[in-house]
Amino acid sequence: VHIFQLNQAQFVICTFYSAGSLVPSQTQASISMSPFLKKVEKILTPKRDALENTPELDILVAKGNSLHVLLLILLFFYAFAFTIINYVQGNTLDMLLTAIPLPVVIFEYIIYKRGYPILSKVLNMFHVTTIVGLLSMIHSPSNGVLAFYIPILVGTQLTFFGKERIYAHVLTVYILLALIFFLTIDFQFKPSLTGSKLRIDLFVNLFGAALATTFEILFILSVSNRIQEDLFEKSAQLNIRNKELTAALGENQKQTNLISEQLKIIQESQEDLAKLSMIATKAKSGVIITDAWGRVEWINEAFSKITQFELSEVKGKKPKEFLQPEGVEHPGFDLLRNRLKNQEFVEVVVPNKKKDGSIYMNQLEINPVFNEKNELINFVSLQRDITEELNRRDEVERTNRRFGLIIDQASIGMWVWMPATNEVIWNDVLINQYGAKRSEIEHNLYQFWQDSIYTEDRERNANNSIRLVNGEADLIKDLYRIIRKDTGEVRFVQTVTIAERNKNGELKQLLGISQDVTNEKQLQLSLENKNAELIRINSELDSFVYSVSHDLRSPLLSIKGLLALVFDTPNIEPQVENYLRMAEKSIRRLDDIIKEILEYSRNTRLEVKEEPVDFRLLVEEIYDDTRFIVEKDFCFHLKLEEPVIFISDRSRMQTVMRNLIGNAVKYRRRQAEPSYVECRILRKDGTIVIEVADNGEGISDKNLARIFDMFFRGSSTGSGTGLGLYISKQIVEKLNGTISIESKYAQGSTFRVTIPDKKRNA
Amino acid sequence: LNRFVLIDDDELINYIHRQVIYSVAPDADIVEKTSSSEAFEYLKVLSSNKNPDDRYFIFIDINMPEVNGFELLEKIGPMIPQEKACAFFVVSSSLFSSDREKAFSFPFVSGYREKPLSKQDIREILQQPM
Repeated sequence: VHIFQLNQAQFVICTFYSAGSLVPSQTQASISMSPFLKKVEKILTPKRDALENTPELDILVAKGNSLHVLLLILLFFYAFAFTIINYVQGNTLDMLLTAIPLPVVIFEYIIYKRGYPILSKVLNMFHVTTIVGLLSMIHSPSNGVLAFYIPILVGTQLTFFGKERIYAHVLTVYILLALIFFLTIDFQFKPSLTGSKLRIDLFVNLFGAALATTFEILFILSVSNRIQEDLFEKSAQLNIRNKELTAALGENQKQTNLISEQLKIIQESQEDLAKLSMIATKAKSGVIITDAWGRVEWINEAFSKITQFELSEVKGKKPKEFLQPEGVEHPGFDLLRNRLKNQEFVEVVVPNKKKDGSIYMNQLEINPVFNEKNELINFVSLQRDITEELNRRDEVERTNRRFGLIIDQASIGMWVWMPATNEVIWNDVLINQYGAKRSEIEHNLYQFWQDSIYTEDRERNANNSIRLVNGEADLIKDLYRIIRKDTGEVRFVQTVTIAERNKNGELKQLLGISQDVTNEKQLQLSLENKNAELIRINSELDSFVYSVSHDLRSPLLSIKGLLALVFDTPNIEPQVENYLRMAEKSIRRLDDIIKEILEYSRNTRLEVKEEPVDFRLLVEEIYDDTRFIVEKDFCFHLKLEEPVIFISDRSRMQTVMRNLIGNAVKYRRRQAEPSYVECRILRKDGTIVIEVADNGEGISDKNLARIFDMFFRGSSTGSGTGLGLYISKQIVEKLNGTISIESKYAQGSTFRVTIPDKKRNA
Repeated sequence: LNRFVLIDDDELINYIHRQVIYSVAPDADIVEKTSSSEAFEYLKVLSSNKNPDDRYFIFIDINMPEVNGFELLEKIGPMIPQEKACAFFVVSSSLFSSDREKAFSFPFVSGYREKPLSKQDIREILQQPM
């Protein structure tokens, strides 16, 4: 009976205990379906703090506590009660058995309360039920009921692997079945234990225990396998992370090394210092630093700006891989490859590709860097995008070609002499100018040039060259003669020679242009000859006119003198005297014509003089000369408020005024009120305006237009030659002035002469 | 006594002038020279022995062959004694005012007359104070 009692008690305890274990697991399952890994991690991960603080576990512990503690307390009192009962009945062994759970429960309570979930689970693995079961088997091997512990044990372990739900269902079914079984079967065969039944009972118990142990071991193994796998996984991850960290550390180390190396280089080498400072100052240059195998270690901002590549994109790559455009051939690439292979310095321009695929011309300068052991450690590459520069250079070249074309078209010969190399270059035009062929003279252009210069011009030419070379002149224009090689004829060349010097004033080169101006020169010479001829003819004409006027006039004047003698003779027949008067008149007219022709010729030939002319003196002198030939009542007016002295040609002005006043006198109207002539002068807007007015015959409208024509005579009165006004107009025009007339027939005329009012010294 | 020296290569004009002078001053002493060299020789002698009571009127034509009137004036200029009554006149057919100006550039030239001389000219010349 006591065994029954004990077994009954054991069963209840175990049932309750298992349920107690279940509760936190169920709670846990509702929160997280895979808490196992985290638990394993919690064991294995060094950073357990992080995992412990995950919210899942906090909740798990908290929820587990409240229910679990309640069950533990119930279980404790239940086991305590049976222990008391067994004690009272005197069943010492049974009492011990029921007492066993008491410290375990207390221990578990402490664990849960203190929050050591791992320990609690470990405790679960060495489940108290197993201990109780094994102890009861020792105590009473026939206790077959223990076989029912097995599923409970399994279920407990299942909770470890996140299969709580399954276990919960299984357990529920199991508890119901166990209750039915216990209430029906157990009560029936318990009191009638036989030998055979004992054996069966023992077998069942042993089998059940073995099975339970096996399961237990299997699950532990399974758990440990999974733990191990996870362990491996974790450690692999850790290894990777470790490696990354190591790599990062190594990278840092390398960078530090690089910097310290550069610092060392800077300290050691002055030249490299300059280079590095150049890198620093030339911030526009892109810089790539690669390792000894040409893999990018570092690029500067300028490089990123040029190519759009960032360091992270190109690090570890060879520049060739991302810069060299596909399918583009360039001789620079071969040079680059060969030099870098030999670890040599290289400077080259190659087409490169930007990140967006556009091609640019990259001017590269790559320096290999060696350490003190003379081992290659780095390449430092300076880069510059010179695409635009090249384009501009192209533009300049195009412009130059265009100029070249112009120079060729304009037949301008060009030459350059470089003193450094004593090289002389002539363009084709120049060679043609000298009537030579390039092949004939190429070997010694300078000597050929010297020989070609006309002997008389050689010295001057040589002096010019010396002045340019010595720096006495920077530009010399000259005109000298050369002898053409092919025809031997003398040609004139107009040259400009320019000395180009550097900052220090040293001669860099002499540059010259040369143009064959023989035709122009000949034209100029013939023009000069013609001019000299004209001057000669002019002066001859001058003396011719002088002597003609003299020689023509001399006999005329003799006749005049003779006639005067005749008229002086007493007792001339009136008829004869009449004829002689007519002859005298004719002679006077002839003399007038000669005078006027002379004046005309003098006006056209002689230079205009600039001298002060006193208007009063000018007019009064003419008045005085004229006064004798007119009636006493003829009025000579001179309207002049103050003295006017202007700058002009006195002789010409005299001629003009003499003609105008003479006309006014000659064509006066005798029947009218006293005739007059009036001269006026005024300054106006930088001009001198002279007016000669009369109340004479006037000029009819139809004649007015022709009044200044040569040999036109508007009046039959008097003895005009038809030259006076013509000559006056010619003279005024020669003086850059104008002459005009206002006239009314039978009322009078006003002539107006306008000439520039020149300044005295102009 | 009024003495006239007519220097002109044109004999006809010398003749005309002589007649004009006689018509004004019938008692005048008139010498004609038709070349500059003749005239120069004559004037050279005249300057050294000259009657102090006589008045000399010398008419010189500009346009003469070999030595012209102006050149002759330049040559005889230095020989003219200040104290002697001697008047030089340039007589010309020239129409150039420059000739007139040039004539007056000689300080001992008393006047410039156009050919042919008229009776009026002679009267004016004779009335001039020496």
